[in-house]
Amino acid sequence: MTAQLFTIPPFSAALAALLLLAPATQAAPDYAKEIKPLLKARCYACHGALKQKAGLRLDAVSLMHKGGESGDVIEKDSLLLEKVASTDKDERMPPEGAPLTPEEVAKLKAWIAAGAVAPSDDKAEPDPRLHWAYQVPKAAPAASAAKTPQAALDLLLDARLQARGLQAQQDAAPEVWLRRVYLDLTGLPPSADEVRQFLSEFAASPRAAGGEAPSIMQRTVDRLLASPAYGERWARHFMDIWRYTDGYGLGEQLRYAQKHMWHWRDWIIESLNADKGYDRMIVEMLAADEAAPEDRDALRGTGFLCRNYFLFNRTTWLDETIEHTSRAFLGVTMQCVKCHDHKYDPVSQVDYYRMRAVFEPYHVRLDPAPGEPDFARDGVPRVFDLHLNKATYLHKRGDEKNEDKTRPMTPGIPEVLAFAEFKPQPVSLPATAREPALLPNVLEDQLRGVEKEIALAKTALQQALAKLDDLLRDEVESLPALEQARAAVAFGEKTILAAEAKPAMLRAALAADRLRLTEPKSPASAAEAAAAAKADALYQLAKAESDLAKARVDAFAPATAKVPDPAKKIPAAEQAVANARKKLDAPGDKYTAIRASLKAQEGPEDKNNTDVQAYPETSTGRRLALAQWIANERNPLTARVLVNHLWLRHFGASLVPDVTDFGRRCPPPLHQDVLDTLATGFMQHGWSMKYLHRAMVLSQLYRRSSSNAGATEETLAADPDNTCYWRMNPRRLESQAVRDSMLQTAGLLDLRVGGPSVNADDSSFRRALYFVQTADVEQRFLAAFDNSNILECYRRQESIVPQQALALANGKLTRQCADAIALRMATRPDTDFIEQAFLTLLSRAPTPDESAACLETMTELQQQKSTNARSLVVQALINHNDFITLR
Amino acid sequence: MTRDPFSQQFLNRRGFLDCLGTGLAGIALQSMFTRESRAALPDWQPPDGRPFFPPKAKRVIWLFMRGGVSHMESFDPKPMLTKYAGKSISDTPYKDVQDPERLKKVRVVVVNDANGQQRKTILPLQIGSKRYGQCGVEISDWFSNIGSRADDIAFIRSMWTTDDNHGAQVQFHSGRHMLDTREPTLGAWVTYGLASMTDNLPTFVNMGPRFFDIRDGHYLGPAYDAVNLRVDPRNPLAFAAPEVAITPAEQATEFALVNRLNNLTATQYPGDQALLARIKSYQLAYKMQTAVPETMNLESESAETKKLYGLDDKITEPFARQLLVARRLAERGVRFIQIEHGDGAAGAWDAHSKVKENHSKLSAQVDKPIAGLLTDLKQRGLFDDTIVLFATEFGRTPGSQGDGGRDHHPYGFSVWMAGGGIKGGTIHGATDDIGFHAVENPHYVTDIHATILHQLGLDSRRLEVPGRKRLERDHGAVIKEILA
Repeated sequence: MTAQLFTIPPFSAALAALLLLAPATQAAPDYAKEIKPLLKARCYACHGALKQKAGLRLDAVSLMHKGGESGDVIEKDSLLLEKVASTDKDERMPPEGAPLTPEEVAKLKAWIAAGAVAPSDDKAEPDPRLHWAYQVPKAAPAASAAKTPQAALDLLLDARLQARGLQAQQDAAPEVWLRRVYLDLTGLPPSADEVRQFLSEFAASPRAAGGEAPSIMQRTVDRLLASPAYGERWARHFMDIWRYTDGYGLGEQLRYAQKHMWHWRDWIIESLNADKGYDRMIVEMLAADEAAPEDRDALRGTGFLCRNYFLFNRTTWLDETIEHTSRAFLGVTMQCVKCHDHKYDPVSQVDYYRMRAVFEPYHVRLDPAPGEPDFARDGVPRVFDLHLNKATYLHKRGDEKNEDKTRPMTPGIPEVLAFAEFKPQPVSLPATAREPALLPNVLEDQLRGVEKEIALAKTALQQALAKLDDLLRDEVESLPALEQARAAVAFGEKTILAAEAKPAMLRAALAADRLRLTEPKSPASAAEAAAAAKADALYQLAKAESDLAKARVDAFAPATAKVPDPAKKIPAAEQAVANARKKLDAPGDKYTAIRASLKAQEGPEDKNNTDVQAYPETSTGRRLALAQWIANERNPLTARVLVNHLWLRHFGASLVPDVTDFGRRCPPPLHQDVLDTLATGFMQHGWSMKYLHRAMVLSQLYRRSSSNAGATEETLAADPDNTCYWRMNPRRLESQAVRDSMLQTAGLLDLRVGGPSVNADDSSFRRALYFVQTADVEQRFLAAFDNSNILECYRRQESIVPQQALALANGKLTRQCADAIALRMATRPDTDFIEQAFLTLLSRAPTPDESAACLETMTELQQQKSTNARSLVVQALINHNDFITLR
Repeated sequence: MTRDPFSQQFLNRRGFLDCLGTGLAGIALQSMFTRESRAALPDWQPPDGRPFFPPKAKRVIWLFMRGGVSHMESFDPKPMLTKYAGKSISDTPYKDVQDPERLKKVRVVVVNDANGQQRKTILPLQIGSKRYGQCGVEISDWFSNIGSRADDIAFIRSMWTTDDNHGAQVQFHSGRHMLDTREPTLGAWVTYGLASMTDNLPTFVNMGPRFFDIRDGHYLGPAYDAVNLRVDPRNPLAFAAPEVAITPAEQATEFALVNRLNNLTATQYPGDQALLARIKSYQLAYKMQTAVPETMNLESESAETKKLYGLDDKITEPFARQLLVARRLAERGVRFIQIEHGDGAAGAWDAHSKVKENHSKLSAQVDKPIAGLLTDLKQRGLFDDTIVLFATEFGRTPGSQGDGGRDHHPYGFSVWMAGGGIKGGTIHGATDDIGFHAVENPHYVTDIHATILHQLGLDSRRLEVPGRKRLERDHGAVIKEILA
């Protein structure tokens, strides 16, 4: 191809005329199809309903004519064209992102040249504040005819099916429903006996009128919702949404979250099992320390905020807190407003930093766990306001080094969602919040710890004495050996004395602490402080003597390269004893307070975090105010977002497509009436999740078959993606449910509820939600099935990859389970075995074809001289699609 | 002879392909069926697995040296360091490199850490260098084998990043600083954008240690995480071989039963795409458990090839094995092969003391295998559509730390690319005379991403996911000067 081919003879009038004519013969670009989407994508964020920079809006042709500060932008010398075609970076529009392509500019040009024709129904974007999700939900009027929430849901969706000429599928077989509801509510399949019993009761149960679930189904649902496994199943879902993680870091250094995060996990399980109102759960997660500072159980809920702890950078920590609080509870994405106003939603950068001000004072610490004074072994992570007066400034362009000090941010919530003034009320805290040493169990626990110390020391002394006896009996002549044994005995005695001095010290310290708080300047308080100081000095002396005895024992060790002089520590230890004696002569009024709380490091430089702390007497009340605004019937988002999460997990699709973004990018959902009716009912019923579960799983909708078989041509053609739920959606089980189900069917699952996280290896048979989970740990079996990511997992993926087949076919665990199942059925004849295996693993009887296939396989295996024929058939059923699928 | 467990065809091939809508031979082994929640949003479709424009390359071999390779002692030698050895930088003509304004781009994670500090006293070059190839690029003697391939390579000597600690590893893979949110890595984006070319191997694999982030997909989801492979043929992949005693005949029989039962269910659930994909996944898994160990088994490779990589030498053997496996994976259609070199949390190349000891030892492990890989790709006709990247998270300071060591240095460092439409013998960009700042054609790490994506026929702007606005810097810019 050469350039000449395209050279136009300069004076060829005919050709020039042709070129001029050319555009006219082409149709002008279609505004609705070609121009409006372009403007929407590239211009509306600043020149539309959200913002009107330079007074200009481009979201309707009439508004383009009206123009902005410089007048009409699409008349002859179009300013719009000039701006988008400009090569000057400072002039060019849009200022961010790539410039419009030459084709896009040409299209705009052609459209303007053709007279900028708009369709008659050209409408400007509506006011962003009127976005559907920002309006308080109202129950659909049609739903009022229904007697139960589940009937309301069916009524609304049936109307939709009718309107579209869709025909719903028949109910699935009762055993399919049973498996669905077991796994959905408890994460575990029914046993073969439970299936049989249900089927016989179902057959005998009278059909309820009007599509209501038969009472046997209602009873089953009630029973499952009352089972502790329900709380575990749904805790795992909420651990996804609320980003559960155990603490982790590098080596000994804790960098993320806190130690013993499992207390929060147990709070989730217990709250769900107790059907605690979701509104209350939100309050406890964000502000239990302000709403119920003396409720130790509730305080565990603040693990939600402890989870975001990050050693190195406070802004990163708070960014995560803001982002995930708003996404989890409100379906609002705040990430982009950290740097600039939102491009789609009416949320501003100022809103972001006002929300940061809500969290600015908070920090985390461990409070004592009952029964365990050692924070390395246990402790309850919780939040508290530490820096009450720390100012918050907007970070210009999101740069933490570039604070706008001219404008301190007041705490607040996104303006567009405000329904009342945001007025935090400071909370004055009880003494136990300020001084956790005053908690009732602390002294007892520490004294019990001392008892253990004394017992250990006594055992050590016995051993030292026995050794000395042996030496004396054997008439050992070696003087050093005898001396060493005697030193060991002395050390044993001194250690006991030191431990025995401790209770008096602890008791006195606590008594002094109490008075210091209740009557700070009284003579009694001074006396108690003096007594505590004396008890402390006595203990310190005993301890110093024990340390000296230890140094004397160590001196007998042979010299090594590392410790060339084993006796080196003795002089210092002797000095310490002398100092302690001197101190006892004049103990003064300073004493070692009881350490009953461990503040998290405020950065790697904060080395004093282990010191005994007195925490602030008040809390700002900001988080409580935030929680009360979120958990509020007037908040249009909170209940809807929760309903959407539950719906997704019961129906395999969500009513609002993106579960974390209800913003303007999201058009009103197809079934907004269902969403809003459930949301209002939910709030009216004390924000009870069990109310929602019942409404969903007892609906006719939930009973439908997930098969396409027998669906009308019209239905298949009109709604191939099942957007109207004319059938049930099959779903793949989550990683944890796959593993737990396998162990449950084998009778191997350890059903203990709660407690510290356990190592994530194949040898543990606890439910998988108890496995240690951090960003660094990956359990290989769970990893194969789209395991949750602790950084963010609002919705599980359902990928299908060959590694899943390998995990189920080749894993040791699968065979272990298969063997256990086969063994249990060892005495059954073959056909009986096959039926029992199907009932156990797939919760249904085999079809004749399936039975035949299994029998043939067993014969084949026996011909191969296989000794595992039955195990292998069971293993094949574990690998069946429907073992890991909810039908 | 073991039976073929899938010989009973319950669905004809066409029927199966019809159900999935596309030919499966080349599609998405990584995730044959991933429910896309976002697909319900207006004006948005997930990528269809095809490149946006004709690609120059089909696959990537990503070699990452963990810990930070000294650029001055690898691909950007600086004789001035030797000249001014022992002097404080402020006493040299280059004192303005420490102008606080020019140091501002760094975002410190660990404040007042013992490492990641400015080092003032210049440490002389710890190794000699010479010119290689027609292009005459100067390369240190530690990388002489790579030097011998210089005319196949485009050297980029003007990289910079913003993390002065090893979180920069995450930054190099994803484009984002550790203090920001975690974003998908380049391998995840490629896997998201392009269909698989293999039906019995994963399309995105990782070999070698990872520490700061063990995931890739993040908001794209775990289906886009790299699959971890080991070069051990007996244990190459989690669950690749049966963990309990089972004969091949038994296993074939079991797979046949699974297949038969699933196909029976398929008649009850017509059009259930997930079930059909599940059936297919068992066929692929069955092949995979042979294909993966077969790929790791190097017996069929000639002695000459083994020697080329350095399998005959104890020092080079471990990395040589990984690279030879990488070539075999490349031949078998694996799209993104990520190899991480250097143990430890920080990474072995982290030479805070004794650069000489550290880099001479580590370069001896990788230099020959890498050169061998380039040669081998070329002789097998794979070079032209395979991009090989050699990278590290940052360079090392011109100033000395401790006993002959160098500290972390994010202001200027070197990487190189070869094959896949990259112009060999190119020297692009430059640092100043003491290797401090990238001064000529500086490139942030995402420019490497943009360049690789471009060669693969992708454009990160068109891979965007709704609700996840990427920043301009995340996209980077194609380094056009190094393209053939």
